[in-house]
Amino acid sequence: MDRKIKVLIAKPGLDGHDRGAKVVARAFRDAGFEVIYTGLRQTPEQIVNAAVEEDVDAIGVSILSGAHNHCFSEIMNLLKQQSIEDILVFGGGIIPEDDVKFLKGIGVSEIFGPGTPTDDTVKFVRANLKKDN
Amino acid sequence: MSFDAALLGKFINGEKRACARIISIVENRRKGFEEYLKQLQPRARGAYVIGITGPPGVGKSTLINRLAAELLKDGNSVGVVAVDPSSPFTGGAVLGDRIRMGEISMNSRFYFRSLSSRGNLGGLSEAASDVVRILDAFGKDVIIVETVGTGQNEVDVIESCDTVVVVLMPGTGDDIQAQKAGILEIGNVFAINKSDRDGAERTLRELQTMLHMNPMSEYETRIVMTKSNIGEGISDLKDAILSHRDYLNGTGKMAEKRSARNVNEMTRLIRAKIIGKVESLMDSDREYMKIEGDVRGGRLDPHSASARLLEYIDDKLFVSKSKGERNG
Repeated sequence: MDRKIKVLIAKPGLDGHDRGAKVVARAFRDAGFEVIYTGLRQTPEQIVNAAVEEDVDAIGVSILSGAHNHCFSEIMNLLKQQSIEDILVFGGGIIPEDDVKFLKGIGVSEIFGPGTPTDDTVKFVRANLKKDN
Repeated sequence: MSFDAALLGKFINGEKRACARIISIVENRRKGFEEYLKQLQPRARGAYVIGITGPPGVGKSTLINRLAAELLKDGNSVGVVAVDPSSPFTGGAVLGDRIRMGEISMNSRFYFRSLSSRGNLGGLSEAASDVVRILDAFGKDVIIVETVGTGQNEVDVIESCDTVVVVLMPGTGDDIQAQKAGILEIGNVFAINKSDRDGAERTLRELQTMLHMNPMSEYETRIVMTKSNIGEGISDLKDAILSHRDYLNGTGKMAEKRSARNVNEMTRLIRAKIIGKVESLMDSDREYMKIEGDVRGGRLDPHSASARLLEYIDDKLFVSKSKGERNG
């Protein structure tokens, strides 16, 4: 059986704008990925728990509320606590340049801003996977 | 990577991540996956397996969330295996059943796993029954299996589960539909969800009529009205399901059913392996190509060609090889 790449698309925080998350989920599906979509208003704990249970290769976090620094920090901390190092974490949303630097500093691999072609995101994830099973 | 004893050790210790990883290895048929299943076999505790099936959009996932919450409240450890369809074009899938799980997803006695059907048409995925076995060995008391949204003929679920719940909603078809063979024949319990909608009573009557006309069954199938969005009827549903379990246990049918399931699974695997062998032969074999060419060009009819090929395959894959093994 072919190796299937699994991506969790997560939507933390209180904003209800999940159009972007859904477009990205669809793009991954069309590229042959298995996408787990968790729905709106997930806590970092729920996101990391879902990533563990589903044994995903990557977590894509869509966030538009402005709480990105907080949410990503929580997610990265929870992953670290469980010594999970083989899950790629990337993000999307409206995130200022300075914050992007901060997020990359805590281990987020890439942030895709508005207008990024979905192909670029898919290619990036495919090229940067950490798991091999 | 092949079999990893340390990973199995972590699984036995109850580590969720190890369980998740072993499920992936088995689902992806990675090298050494059979060894995990072999090692887990003696750890199977005979978890009770409930299958939930029904057309898309009737509320299966929401119902499972409510049902799982009730079962957790009773002190059970609960696993859910939810299958969603894969795209026939790209093989990709969006697995969205998790959206409905809400707060129970953080319960430490709960484990939820999404599976893509990966091209399988029977309503489950090829690995679904393996995942059930793994969760059983992981210590789950009850495992709920959710099929893809089904039409009329996706009945694989009956093979993997002890009790099958068919979920319907009002207005999904007239009485002619209700007489069709398929998923309506496999329910041990029926739930009419969204029962506050128009036509619920009618759906109930039609279903009752259909079930009374089924002389095959000695068990009186129960129909439960539910509103999963507000949690109404869920404890009735749970009672109906558990009373079917008690019936199975009381009549010895549970053990019978599970033995048959084991054997069915073995024959299914043999069938798949033989097909795989034949297909890989067909990929490259010159004799096959020749006969295929004759069929393609209309020089030979498909029946004669398949008879000739079967003889050839038999000779090539089975007869000569088994002789060789005996000699060697």
